[in-house]
Amino acid sequence: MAQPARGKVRELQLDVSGMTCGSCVQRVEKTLLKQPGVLECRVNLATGEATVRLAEGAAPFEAMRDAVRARGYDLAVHRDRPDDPDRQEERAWLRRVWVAWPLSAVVMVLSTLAMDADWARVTAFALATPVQFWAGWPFLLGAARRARSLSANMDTLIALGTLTAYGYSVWALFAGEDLYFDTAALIISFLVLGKYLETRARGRASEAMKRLLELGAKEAHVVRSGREFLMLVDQVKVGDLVRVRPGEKIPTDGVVEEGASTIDESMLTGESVPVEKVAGDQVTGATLNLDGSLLVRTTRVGADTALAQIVKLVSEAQSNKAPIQRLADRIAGVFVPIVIGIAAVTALAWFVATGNVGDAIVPAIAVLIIACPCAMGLATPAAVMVGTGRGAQLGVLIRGGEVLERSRRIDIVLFDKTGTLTEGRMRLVDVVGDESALARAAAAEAASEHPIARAVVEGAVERGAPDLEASGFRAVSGLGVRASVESEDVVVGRRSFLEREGCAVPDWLAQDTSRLEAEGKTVFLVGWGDKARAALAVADTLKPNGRETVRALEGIGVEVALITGDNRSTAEAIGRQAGIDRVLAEVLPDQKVGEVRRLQEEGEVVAMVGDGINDGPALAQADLGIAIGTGADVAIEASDLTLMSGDLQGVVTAIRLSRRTYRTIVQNLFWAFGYNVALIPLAAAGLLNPILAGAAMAFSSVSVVSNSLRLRRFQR
Amino acid sequence: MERKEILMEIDPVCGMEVDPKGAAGSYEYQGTTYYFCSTGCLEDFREDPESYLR
Repeated sequence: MAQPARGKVRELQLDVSGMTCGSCVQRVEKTLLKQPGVLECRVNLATGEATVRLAEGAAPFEAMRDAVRARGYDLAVHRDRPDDPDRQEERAWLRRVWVAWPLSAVVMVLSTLAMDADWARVTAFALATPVQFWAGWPFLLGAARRARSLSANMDTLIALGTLTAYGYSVWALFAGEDLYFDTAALIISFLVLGKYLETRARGRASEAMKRLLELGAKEAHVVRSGREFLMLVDQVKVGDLVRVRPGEKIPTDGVVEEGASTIDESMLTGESVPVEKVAGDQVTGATLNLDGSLLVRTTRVGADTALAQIVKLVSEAQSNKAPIQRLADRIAGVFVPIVIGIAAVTALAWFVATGNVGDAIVPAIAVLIIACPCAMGLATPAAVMVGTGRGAQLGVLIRGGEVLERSRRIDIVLFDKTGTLTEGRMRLVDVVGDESALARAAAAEAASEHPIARAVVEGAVERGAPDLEASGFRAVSGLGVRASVESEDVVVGRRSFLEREGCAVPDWLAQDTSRLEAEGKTVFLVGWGDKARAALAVADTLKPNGRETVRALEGIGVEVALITGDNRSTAEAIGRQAGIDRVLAEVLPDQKVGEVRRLQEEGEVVAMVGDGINDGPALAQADLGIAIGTGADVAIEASDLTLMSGDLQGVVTAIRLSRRTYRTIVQNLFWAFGYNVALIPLAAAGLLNPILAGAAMAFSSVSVVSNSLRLRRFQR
Repeated sequence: MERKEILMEIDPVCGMEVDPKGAAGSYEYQGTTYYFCSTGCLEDFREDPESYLR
């Protein structure tokens, strides 16, 4: 129903609501196509998005909407999804920053320059109040919660310090004494800035869930009553027959009823070799059907599918990860009672010395005021920001400060095999037998899309094999190919295929084949003239600096192990090449996370490096999850750290950078507390004044920031 | 398709399972009653029943 285009053509994105079945899609498309000026219309059942191409002078949106409504659906102009909760939190802190800083700056100026003028004092009070109670509200709330369980953390220290400063200043406003409004306001300002920087660096944890759920097929072609219907995948029932065409994702877990094909199961098992499936074999939802058409009888849907299980595992791992008590909080937890103690002693001492309550309270208050370090809120975020920034320059994307604190001590690194330690692609590694076999095999496989065929062809080019012509190409799905090369009938495939096609396999070749297979390689035979003439072995190869990385890690005191779902001989072969002794093979996705948990229960701090969806749960469970940037989005989202390129050296860099950044955080906290603690005795002696307090704030902030900037010089 | 409690019908237009009691509509054609998931499917069927009953 397309009409010839004339003049300008524009595209419009729309959202359709109310569609429940495949026929709904057709109905909406037909309705829209009937509208004047609509050249093309595509509607997606799963997302509800419609794309229409309109010629000049086409019907207006309202007309299209009315027509769609008449059929029982609704139409709206496409709108992108609203922001997720983490962004909202980030923006909330930014709002506080925008309020706190300008007000605090004014208060500080007033305090420094015009402390005697009444109008200045009252203004300072008026401006400091919203900073203390609106911008600083989250800390006050946090402290109140903590107080209920009689424990203290950073929030407690902040509340104590700022409320004391503020409260005293209100009294001082009327009593004509020194004001400390600027102290309170600036402490809060630094803190909200720190919190904003922290949330910005943190990233989105819930993305992992979203990505995993997006992996599944959205639609399915269900065969009912002898006819094929398009429907949403959640409408498929156990027992339904589903037709899966080449290039489509398998919609649900099931058993092949009819047909034969090869399936790309890498998303699930990490295996780089596509798997052959025939009637009676099990298939998994979300895997990719490569070349044949299949009729699948559904065995599991929805929450019972393998993919749903992975989602559940990742979710459990993420929620079970107890947030570690941040270093700053732990220090504050010890510091607060000590400070309160010192203040009490101070008050007591003065009271005993002067007998005057007023004279006793003021120094005690001064102790409380000076004890709250304003740079404390900046200590961790500043180091994290510079650290993560430097990391990004080096190709290491770190997600947030908690990661750095948690990973300062790593005992063991688990490497996934396929796509992480290895390139993830098959390469031709051995040619045994008749030398002309490679050229012939390459010619025969030239037309095939199969990854192994590609490997053979590339291998032939690499080795300079002559380019031969092939004709009469015939493929038997998943088993082998046959073609006529230089008027010889060439057969390429597994041993069973060659024997079936009448090519006898001599003993020497059979022995070599077994030897190569024992090395974990995938072996194909090439034959012509009724005899198998040669064997071609393909394998996934170790990444170039795999061995060095393992050595470097062992050099910084970290144990290395390999964990994979692939078979034992392949795994051990790669392990040998990389220099890894500890090899865990044939591990299913839920077992992978189990292994990580087992090691953690033994007291080890575990880092995991992976790239595939099947690594998701383990990456989330590990103390430090490292994703290979060239891998699945899900792995990236489930991890704490991403190596932008696939370069394994990044693992060493990442661990070293984490340790360095953590050291910087500790140093920053020392600087933050140091100046203030040094002034406590002065405060107790009644010698504190706003100038000194301000100086402490300034020095500690500068120290923290400049110490953090030193991280920029971190080298790979 | 049989279920333990309810016998579900299949909408001949879109193939979805429909509970006869809660169907959006039904239509009798040549002695058989068909149930539909939506009025849209019912209308399509009514216009050309034969095309859905191969």
